[in-house]
Order: sequence, then structure tokens, then C-alpha cells
Amino acid sequence: MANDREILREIWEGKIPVRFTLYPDEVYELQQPDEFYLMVPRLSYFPLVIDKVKKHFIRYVSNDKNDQEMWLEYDGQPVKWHFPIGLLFDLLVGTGPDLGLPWHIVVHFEKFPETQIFRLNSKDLVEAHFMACLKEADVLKHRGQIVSSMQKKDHNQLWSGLQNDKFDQFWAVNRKLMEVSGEVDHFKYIPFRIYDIEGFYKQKLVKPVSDEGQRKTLNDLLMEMYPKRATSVKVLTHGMFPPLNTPLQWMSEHLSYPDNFLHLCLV
Amino acid sequence: MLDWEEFSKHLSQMKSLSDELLDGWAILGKTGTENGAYLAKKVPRLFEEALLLFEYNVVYDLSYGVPKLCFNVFRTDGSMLQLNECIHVLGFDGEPVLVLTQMDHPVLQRPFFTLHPCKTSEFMDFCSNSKNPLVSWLSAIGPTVGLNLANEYSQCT
Repeated sequence: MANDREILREIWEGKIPVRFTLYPDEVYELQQPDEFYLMVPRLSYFPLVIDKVKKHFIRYVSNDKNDQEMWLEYDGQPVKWHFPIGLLFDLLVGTGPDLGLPWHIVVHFEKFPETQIFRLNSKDLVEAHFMACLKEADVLKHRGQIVSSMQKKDHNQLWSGLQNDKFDQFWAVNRKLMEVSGEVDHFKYIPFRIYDIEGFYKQKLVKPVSDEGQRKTLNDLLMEMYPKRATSVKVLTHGMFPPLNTPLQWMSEHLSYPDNFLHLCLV
Repeated sequence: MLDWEEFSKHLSQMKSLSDELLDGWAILGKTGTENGAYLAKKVPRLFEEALLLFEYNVVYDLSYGVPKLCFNVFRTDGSMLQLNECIHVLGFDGEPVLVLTQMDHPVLQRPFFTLHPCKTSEFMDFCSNSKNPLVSWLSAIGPTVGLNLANEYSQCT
């Protein structure tokens, strides 16, 4: 059970300051637009929080371009906005004494990079993507039995809890997804993805306990994933480095993103 | 449920038959790595006097333990069809569309239109008598997205 409520709260409240600017070549008006600043929740998704950014910049781009889809760029690369914001930050910016905050994101309205990023031009599409991840996580944890036994209103409550930044509303339902069922005190498999520096991720079926019934730790997971270099890597998630002896089951219950996956970045 | 070993075995079998039939399926990616390879075929098709190129990929879904069919459709200028355009080309107009969404291709990790795998597992149980459940599944669900397998493939099921 996800019992350490302070941790869940702390994770939920993580925010990142972002500075948005419009790509200079796309400015059509004589006057350059002001930058736009936003404090965004780490657990949310960019397409859910950038309505105001779009409204701010769209009047500066050519009229025949403004029906085009907005997209975001960081450091010359399109931002894969189907990933949660906190994961993107850990992946693209990382950690260190100089994070260069606020995070500088460039806004585009032209040449949507359609082969590289998802078209998430409606909240329904983001919701469908989110629910698909949540279902997949439940397939790994409980053979999908919890999600499929839930009612539509529970699904809606999860989604609106996330969308409206309502911790209690979200966790009232998510708690059920974090429960262990029946005789065992752990999930079947741990839903996780581990990302390398190039932004590619790996998944694997990893159980939270060993064949002897011992609780596995983050270190065991790294050994299973990268037997040759497990000792030389660190894992970054939610802007912090969890100790290598953290039990996987506890991590899954407390450090998963709202999509119920652990998103771990290799450093 | 299929594990990765079974999936790749069925994949190779289908590829061999495709070679005999000159049907154009290729195995791409890294065959030695778990969930590293997939089956791919490009199919040109005329639609309303425009030439479209359908790129079909049969990939493995590790979490569900099932195959997944994903595709993208390109115009001759290299641009991709969007969801509503695909729905029109495939003749789905007016039907619920959320069975077809963009998902990350498990190997390429780029967006592909994908038939959601949540029902595939039930379907795979249904094909459990087949010698090649992958081919049975693909010949059944392929036509919904315009992919028809030749009758000759039935010899491996």
C-alpha cells in the first residue's frame, strides 16, 4: 500500500518554472512578443498546461500559419510531450548545480515534426494516451483486473484529478491501483521504463521479489537491466537520486507517475 | 499470451513463407534482443486518385504479451496522414475511433497508429489451436486497417 503520504504529497507538488519564447523566424509582427512564464506541475503533461502559451503567441504568427499545430522545442529537438513534464526535465536537463532555471522552451507553429512527436491537439487524445499507459501498468501489476473492474466514473476521477491538480481526488482512486491483491504482498511485475541519455527507453518484465521471496531493490533492477555496467550508473527520477537499496515495491507505490509507471533516467 | 521467444519464432516462420510467396515482409531491428525486432511491409495504394504508401509493422507488446499491428500512411511528398484522414481512407467514418491511437513503436519509439492491444489477449486465446497464432491473428485483424494476407498464409496455421 502507498502509505507514506508525505512522500506522495511531495512528489505531487513538484513544479518546474518554464520560460517560453516564440521561435524568432516565425514572428510575423513587427513587435517581438514578450516571453511567457509558467509554473508547471512535474506530474502533468505539456498539452494540458499550455493553452495560455498558445493564446499569448498566436497573434504574433502569420495568419495563414495560425491554424497550424503548436509544438515545443528544447535545445534543437522537438519535445516528446506524451511524456510527463517531470520526466522530460530529468531526461533533457538532468540535474546539477546549474540547471539554468527557468527551463527555456521554444514555441513553434510551423513544420510540425509529425514523424517524431504525437499529435495531441485535444485533451481527449491526451486522456486516451494516459489511460492506455495506466491500463498497461495495471496489466503488469494485477493482470489488468483492477482497471477493468473500475467504473467509468473512477477513470474520470483519475483523469480530472490529474488535470485539475487535485491530489485527494486522484489518490482516492489511484490508491486501489496501488493495492496488492490476494495472498501476496507485492505486484506481479513492476511497471517501469528506464531511459538512456539519447531518450530511448527500455522495458522488461521485472518482479518485485526474487525467486527466494526476497524483496528486490533498485540495485537488483539495475543488475537485471544492465548486468555489465550496473555499478557505474545512477538513476534520476522526480529530480532526485533514490538510494540503490530502495525496495522496488515501495518505489512503484510511491514514486510512480500518475500513469502508474516508474520513469527512471540513467545518469 | 505469447512470450518473446514464441513471438519471434512465429515471426520468422511468417517471414520465410512471405519470402516463398514474394510477399515483401522483412524483419527489421535486432533479432537477438528481447523485443528488439519487428516485421515490416510497405504497401502502395491508390485512394481518390492519390498514391498512398502504407507502412505496416507487426511488433511485440511486452506488457500484454501479445503482437500489435501498427502503421503510418505517407503521401508521395513524404507527409503523413493524420488520424481523421486515416479513418476516412480506411472507411471508418462515424465509428468510434479510440481503438486506433498513436502509440510509441516499441522498437523505433516514434508515433505509429496502433490498434490497442487490450483485446488482443482474448483473441490470442481463441487462436490457441493455431500452429502460428501470429498469422491467425494478423489475417483476422489486418483487414480492418486495409492489410489483407494472401490465402497461402493459412498453410502455416
